[in-house]
Amino acid sequence: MDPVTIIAAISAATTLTEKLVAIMEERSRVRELTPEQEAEWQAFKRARFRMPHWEPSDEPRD
Amino acid sequence: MKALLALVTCLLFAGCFTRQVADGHDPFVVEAEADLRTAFHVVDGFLAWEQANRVGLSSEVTALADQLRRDFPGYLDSAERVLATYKRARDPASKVQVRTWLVAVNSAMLAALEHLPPSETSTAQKAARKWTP
Repeated sequence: MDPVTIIAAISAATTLTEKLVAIMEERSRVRELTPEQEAEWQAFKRARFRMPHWEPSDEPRD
Repeated sequence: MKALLALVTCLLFAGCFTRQVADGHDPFVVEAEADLRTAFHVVDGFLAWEQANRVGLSSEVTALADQLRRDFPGYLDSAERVLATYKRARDPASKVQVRTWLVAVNSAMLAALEHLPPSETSTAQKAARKWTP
């Protein structure tokens, strides 16, 4: 294996490792919602419930 | 090199499917909150899709959508209420109630998922991720 190939292989492995570390760090941040996030979620949800696609279709039922 | 790549790929996949909960946080609560938000976004996406495509859909799909419009907000509110109780008390009885309402919410989500096209499902998943701190 020539030096250029070895360097390219090390570089590729390093990039993959960096991605791996980023994913692991992201996963380790999973936590319960804070009261502020909970309030934001409730406001978002209520706003969605008021949107037209949450209105009944008015289709006749048997 | 191939062995190294295989190892890193395996670790990447392991990372993708392992949810690590931060220290001091209850995995049951984290999972329940994530489940509720995912279910909401799937049902919300299904209802928007049903409304936009109603003309070409069967009456069964619209009937399901109307049932979800009527029942799902109550299921979600109840699940969130018992989850809030559990977060205060952390007792087994509240945990059972959370599980019960999660079944109702997840059943509604599965019914919606059955009809939702894959592209819409992916959009719902992305939207739900916003609520994973």
